[in-house]
Amino acid sequence: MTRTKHPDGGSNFAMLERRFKRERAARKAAEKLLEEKSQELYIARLDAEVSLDAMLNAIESLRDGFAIVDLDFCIVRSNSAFNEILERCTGSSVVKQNLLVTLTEICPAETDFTSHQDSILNALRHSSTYEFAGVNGIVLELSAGDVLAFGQTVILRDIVGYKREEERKSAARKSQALGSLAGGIAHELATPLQFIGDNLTFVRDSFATLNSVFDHLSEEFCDSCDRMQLLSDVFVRYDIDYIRSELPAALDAAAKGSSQISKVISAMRFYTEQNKGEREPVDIEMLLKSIVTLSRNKWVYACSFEVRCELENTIVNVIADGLTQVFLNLILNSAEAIGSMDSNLTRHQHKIQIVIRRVSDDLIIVFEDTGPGIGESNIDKVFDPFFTMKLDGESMGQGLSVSSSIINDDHNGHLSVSRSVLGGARFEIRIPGSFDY
Amino acid sequence: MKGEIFVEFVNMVEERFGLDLADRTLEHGELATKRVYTSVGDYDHEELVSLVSALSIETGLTCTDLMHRFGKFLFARLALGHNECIHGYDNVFDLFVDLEGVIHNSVQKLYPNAELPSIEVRVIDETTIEVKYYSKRGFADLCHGLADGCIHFFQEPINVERLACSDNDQTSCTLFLSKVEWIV
Repeated sequence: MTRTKHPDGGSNFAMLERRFKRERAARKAAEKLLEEKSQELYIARLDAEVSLDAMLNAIESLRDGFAIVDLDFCIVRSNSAFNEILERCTGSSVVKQNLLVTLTEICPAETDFTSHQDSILNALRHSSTYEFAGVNGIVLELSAGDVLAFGQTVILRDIVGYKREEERKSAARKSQALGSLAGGIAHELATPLQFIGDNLTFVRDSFATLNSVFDHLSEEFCDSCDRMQLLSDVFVRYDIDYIRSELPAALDAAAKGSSQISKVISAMRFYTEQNKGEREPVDIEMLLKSIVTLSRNKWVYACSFEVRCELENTIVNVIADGLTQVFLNLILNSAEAIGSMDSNLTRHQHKIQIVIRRVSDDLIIVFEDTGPGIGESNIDKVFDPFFTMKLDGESMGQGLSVSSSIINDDHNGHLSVSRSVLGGARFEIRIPGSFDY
Repeated sequence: MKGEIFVEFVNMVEERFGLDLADRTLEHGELATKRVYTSVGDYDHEELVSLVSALSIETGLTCTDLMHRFGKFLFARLALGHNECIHGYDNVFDLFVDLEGVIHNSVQKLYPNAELPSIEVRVIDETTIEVKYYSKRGFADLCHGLADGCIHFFQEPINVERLACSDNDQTSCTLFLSKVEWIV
């Protein structure tokens, strides 16, 4: 068979060859572009991962609960604070659960569930805020973000916890400021007090010498009636016998007062030196006694005080600043409770008793008093925020709540209340691991 | 300008005028890219003007006519290749009303570098809309063709009246789209 060339075959072939070249060049250009775009995508992905990590870290560090829920209100992502708030209400893990169902279920039994659920749904759908009471005295505020394609953001705030934290911060700031002030005053008073103490000693010694002079003169003049009479006249005119009998007692009282001021100043200095927010070795007996001294004017007219330390080694690993607040709260509560009693007992018959002991590796501090105690109906509520047995306005009801948080949360310990054998209230502080340092 | 436009232009020439004429058009004169186009690339819009001029010389048809034909062809191809953009629309007017705010936004998300024309749409009444096109690239004829392609795609009886541009200005034009009664 012979092959003949098509009349237009040559030009068609050339045309197809050009087209083929263009297509091949286009493919190469596309591959190059694809490579560049892949690189860009890879870098963009790395950037996105870094941004995501930064965002998640920021969300994780929020004090409020933060979550993203999908359009069916299922929790897609949440921070630890969010999980912790809900787990405190439900007692179980809430990860991946439905937020609407979970929030509806955590309200107290007496709640109108339908109305409650409607309010939650309304807040979620209209990107608004809804505040409600949960179980265990927890009050929550739900704030829903705008509804977007992926769902929406939700912020859950434990209002009571938030307020308590604010109170603690405020108290810590005040305490710090007062500590600085007290430290400064203590420092300024220490030197003049030293002068007073030294001069009192000098005056007392000098007076003893003067007394000896008077005695010597009396002995020397006893042979002469005239001189004896003269000395007697001088004694009478200047009331020397009265001065000689009263001055030592006056000087003793001044020295005692000076010593008391010195103790207060030492306590203030010790207190301000311990005013830190970290767990560190501290002499618990000294700390407690310094608080007893500083709060003396609050209890001295109501009762006596007894501090008994059964520890061999009084150095314990605690947050001194926090314990100072707890000690002060418990002492003031006892003193006020005793002071408010219509009792026949005298000041000396009432007492606040504190015992420090060690059980295994736990530090135990027991506060007991002869006050009226806490009734059975209130004993479960004393650690609730804003609970108070005092008249309206006399107390914020935060002292025991904050104390409980300091012991239970900050020290991972336990603060409990019961009836004391002394007749009043008994508070027991138990702090594990206090002797590890 | 997106490479997809150039690829579709070559497709149109090959389909409507044959491979040989397409080859001659692409080989006409000197172009920076050597007439190699991929849909994922970006090219100077002036090259499209040069290609249309070359096709005009090869076919004897005016550039205006060719650009209009290409616009009509292009709409059909874009509707086929990017159905997600027009999914949910069943008529010309709704599509035009959403063109700037919805469709161009979607395009901008996919192609952040895309320089899109400005399309201003005003609903005059139930039967008429006014479409104002503006682009410094000057493809008013292409816009007119796209509008006709859209009407063809939705198979609606709509008449397009184009306000004459002064000095054959291609950077802007105004189209009036009016619904008409079918004449049976």
